[in-house]
This record gives sequence, structure tokens and C-alpha cells, in this order.
Amino acid sequence: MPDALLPDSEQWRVLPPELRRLRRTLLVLGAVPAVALTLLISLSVGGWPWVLLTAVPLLAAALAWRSIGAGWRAWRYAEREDDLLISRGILVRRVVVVPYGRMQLVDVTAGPLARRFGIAKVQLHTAAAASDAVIPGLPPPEAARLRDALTERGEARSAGL
Amino acid sequence: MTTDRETTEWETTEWETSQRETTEWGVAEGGGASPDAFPAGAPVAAPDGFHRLHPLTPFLRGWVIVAAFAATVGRNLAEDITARTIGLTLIFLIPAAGTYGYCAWRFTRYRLDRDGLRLDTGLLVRRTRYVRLDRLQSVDIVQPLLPRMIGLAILRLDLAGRERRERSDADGGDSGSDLRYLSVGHAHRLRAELLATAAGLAPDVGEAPFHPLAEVPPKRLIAAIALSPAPWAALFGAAAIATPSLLTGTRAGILGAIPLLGWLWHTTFRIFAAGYPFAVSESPDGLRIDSGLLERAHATVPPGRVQAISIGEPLLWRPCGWVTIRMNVAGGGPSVLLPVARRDEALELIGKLLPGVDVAAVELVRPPRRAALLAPIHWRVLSCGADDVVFIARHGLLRRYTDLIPHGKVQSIRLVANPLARALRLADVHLDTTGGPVRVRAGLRDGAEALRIVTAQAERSRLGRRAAVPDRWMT
Repeated sequence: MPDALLPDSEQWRVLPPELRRLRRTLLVLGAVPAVALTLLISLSVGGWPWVLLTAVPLLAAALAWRSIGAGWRAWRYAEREDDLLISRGILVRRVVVVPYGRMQLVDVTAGPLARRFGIAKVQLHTAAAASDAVIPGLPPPEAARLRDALTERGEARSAGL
Repeated sequence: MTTDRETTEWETTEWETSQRETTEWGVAEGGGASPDAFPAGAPVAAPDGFHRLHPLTPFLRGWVIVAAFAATVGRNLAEDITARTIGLTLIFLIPAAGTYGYCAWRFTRYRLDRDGLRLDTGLLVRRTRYVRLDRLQSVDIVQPLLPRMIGLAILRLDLAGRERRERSDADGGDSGSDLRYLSVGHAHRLRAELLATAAGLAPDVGEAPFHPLAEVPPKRLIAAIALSPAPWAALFGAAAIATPSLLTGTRAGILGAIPLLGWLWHTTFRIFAAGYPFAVSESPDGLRIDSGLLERAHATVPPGRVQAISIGEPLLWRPCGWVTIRMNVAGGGPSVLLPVARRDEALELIGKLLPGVDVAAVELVRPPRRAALLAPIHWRVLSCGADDVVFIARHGLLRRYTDLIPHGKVQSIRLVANPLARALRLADVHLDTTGGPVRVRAGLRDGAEALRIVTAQAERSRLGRRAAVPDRWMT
């Protein structure tokens, strides 16, 4: 997919497929009861044309399935010499540049489900509330490496506010 | 009341010590500050170097309890209020408030050392806070009306990140790094000491000399208020609501106009009282802003702490050539740099604050023609450009804003393209800065150009950060 808004000379890293799997699992967990419920209600309301209503949650789920894939593919990051680059989004495209010297703290979080899938979220905070630099899923060793690398470089390049 | 005896005792000791303190310090009173009419309430330090707040603090803080009680419980009991219930309530309430205030005061102490200010507070939950002076974003002396009348002041230390957690209370009521209350003279001395220490000098060098940069003449401020739409909207709104009922003689409409009259008060007198007198001056300790007619505020923003500046030009002010300047200071410091100023004055002031910047000389580039599809009229106003020191972006049709951010102060750079903009190969570039009124955004740039801005800005910011003023600015 050629994208005019993606700087192409960078060493982009992509997110692990486990993130996509986690999101799709969550989607299925939500979609199955929704489809079943619609089917049940439409059958009990009465017969043939109502059953077509089931297509609504099915279609929505299919759309979400595809957009999870696209979103996962679009989300990438690059560690440059002085800043971290994150590029993401399908509908709204975003490119975020966070200088290491501006990082206030780095959060690594992993919920119980994420841990099962081998995923951890890395979030960078600066003194500006608006800078939303998030990498939603990385294998825990990579997340830990990134965290340490970021804090180390942040310290080396730290500047007063 | 138990506190009475305590206080008198305190004041006597204080009278004695104040003589000693003044001779010891020997510091000239700060420029605009009236010398304290009150006994210079610099409480004597305990042997471990800790100080207490002013002994009148309990009365001002205990008052909060009475007011809160009156507002909540009092409203429920409103039906059967008699002189007796009021008296009974007060008998219980005043000692309770007094005890609370006394304890809060008794358990609050602070100490200034080479690297920071330690502040211990809390009666039940003890809290010790250490404010690192090299992280200081601004030092403010604030005097709300009541404390001002009895010669007290709040000394406020603004630190980055504070706005996120503690600014939740509306008036910064329990902000952790406030020293409330100190006597005015002591607040000024302590500020001088804090700033000197933070700058990396000896704490007793005294207040840095300063010289005025700009002032707001009262006539211009009044004219500027008269040229804003809000007061007129309030006035005519109130008149429109009140007139019919005045003609028919009912009272409901007049009551309905009261909120609008409140708004009128807010948009006229309140703005006047905040903007006159208003003086901006320059000192080795940074920018000083002294403002306020009833509530005085003296802010000091050390060098290199201004994060972003915005020049606002409301439509009606443009024939007079007046602008308003606002700024971002991390940690909720002052946000108005000048309420109303002539354009050339404003540019000169900005040139002083950010040396080497000439806003008028920076070439601003408009977005491509096709941006008119998304912003039919104001695409012409949108523009951006950069020189060696700042990035400048302009937006706003009725109120035109020219936003400046020094390269070294950019926290992060974001390129955002929503589906509509993407269909037209356009994108917005945001240069994020700390909390405050200013947001810098270059709107609707050509996609490739936006990417070039992002890359170039990343490089400029990298160089800009190198040239930053050291945290302890005199070192």
C-alpha cells in the first residue's frame, strides 16, 4: 500500500501477530453471543424475513475483523537516533515523533489476557498531555528492551523542560 | 477558644524576632511590594531549620469549615432557623474550626536547603513533599482579597506535571506546593531566597534587580473591554429579558436577568481588575508579572521556562492595532503575558523573551489552494513558517492567533490526517507543548510538505534543545 504520509527511509518495525490474535479473539468473544442473541430474538419474533437481521452483527464483526488486521498492519514504529517515530491509523493517519530527551516516563503494562497472549503495551509520556505515543502490543522481552533503551537514551539526551 | 492564647504568645515572640530577622536579612523589599504593615511575620526557625506558616493562617483556613458547613448543612436546616440554632451551631462550630485550623497550621512546616524546599503537611495523613528547585517552573506570590487585607500572601511553586493531578480543585485550594499563608514581607524574602538558590547563587544575595518592559494603561484596557463582544451580549441579553417584565410589572423576568448580569460583571469588572494594574518586567531571575487590582499576583517565570506564546487579535481590536498575548508555562504558572498591548509593543516584548525572534520577519506560507474545500474562508488565514528559533503557526478568522513555539520546547510532533483531509492529500501538523492556553498547529498542509515539516522540525528541535538555558540559570 503506497502511502504518501509514511516516511519510507526509516527502519520500521511492525507489531507481533499475537496482538492481532488477541484482538480478534476478543472480537469473537463479543461477536458470538451478539449473533446468537440476534438469531434467537429474530426467530422468536417470527420467521423468515426477520432472520436477515442476523446479518447486521455478522457484517459488523467481519468489518471489525478486517479493520483489526489493517490497523495492526498500519501500526509501526522506528527508533531513530534522537527520537522515536510511531506511525498508525487507517481512517485517521497519524505520525508521532517523540524526542528521547523529552520523555518524562515510559509505562509498560500487561493485563492478564495480554500476558496470556504474550503481549505488553508500551506508552511514552512527555510533559504535553496531547502527545499520544503508544505501542499497543510488543512481546514482553522486546517491550522491556525498548523501555530500557528509551530511558537510557532519554537520560543521555535529557533537556530541562 | 484555645487558639487565642496561643496566638498572642506567638505574636509576642514574633515581635521580638522580627527585629532580629530584618537586621539579619537586610534585604531591600521587593519592587512593587508594599513593606509589611504587619509585624514581619518571618517565624523563627526551629533548631532543625524548619519554619512555620504565619500564625494567622488558622483563622483563614478554619473559616473554610464554617463556610462549608453553612453551605451544606445550613441549607437543609433553612426552614427552622432561629437565633438559638444559629448560636448553638456557632458554639460548636467555631471551636471545631479553630482546632482544625490550629492543627493544620501546627503540623505544617517547611525548610529550604541548597537543592529544594521540603514541605511537611497533614494532621492524620502525614505528607512530606520535596520540591526540587532545578525543576521550578515559576514562583508566584498570590494575594486573594481577604488575606491581602490582613497582609498575608500565598507563595506558590509551580512544577511541571502538577496541573494533571492537583489542579483538579477549582481554585488550587489544596495544591501541594503552596505555602499558605505567609506575611507579605516574608513571602517576598522567601521568594528572593528561593529564586537565588534555584539560580545557583547563595540564598542571601537578595532580590534580583528588575526593569519594566511593558504596562497596561487603564484607558486602553477599558477600551479593549468595550470592544469585546461578550459584555455587550450580556448587557443586551439582560435588557432583553428584563424589559418585558419591567413593562408589565412582573418580577420573574428581572430575576431571570441576574445570571446575565453576573456574566456582565465577569466580562467587564473582573477582567479589568485582573488586567489593571499589570506590569511585565525583566530581571536576571526571568520574567516578572505583577497584576491585579483587588487580588494581587506577582509571578516570576525563570529564564527558558516559557513554553509557547500566542498573539491574539480579535476582529474589533484590529483597527486599533491591539493584541493580547498569552503563554504556556508548565505547572499552571501565569497564562496571560499581556492582556492588551499595541502590536509593536507585543513584538518587542516577544523579541526580549525569545532573543533573536522577529515575528514579523518570519515568512509564513499558506496551505495549498485545495485546502479551501475544507476551510472555504479561513484557509487564507492558516499559515505556518519557522526561523532559527521558533516555529510559527497562524489560525482563526474572527480572532486571529499567531502561535509561537521555540524549537527546543517542542514536546512531541504529530502529523494527523483525517479521511477528508487525506482524500485531498492534506494533513495537520501539531507541535505539542505543556498544558496552557496555547496549542500550536499548522493546519491543512500538503501531505508531502507536512511530512517535510515533521522531519525538519525534529531536526530543529534537536538543535534547539542543545541551546537550552541550564536548569539553574545563573550557573
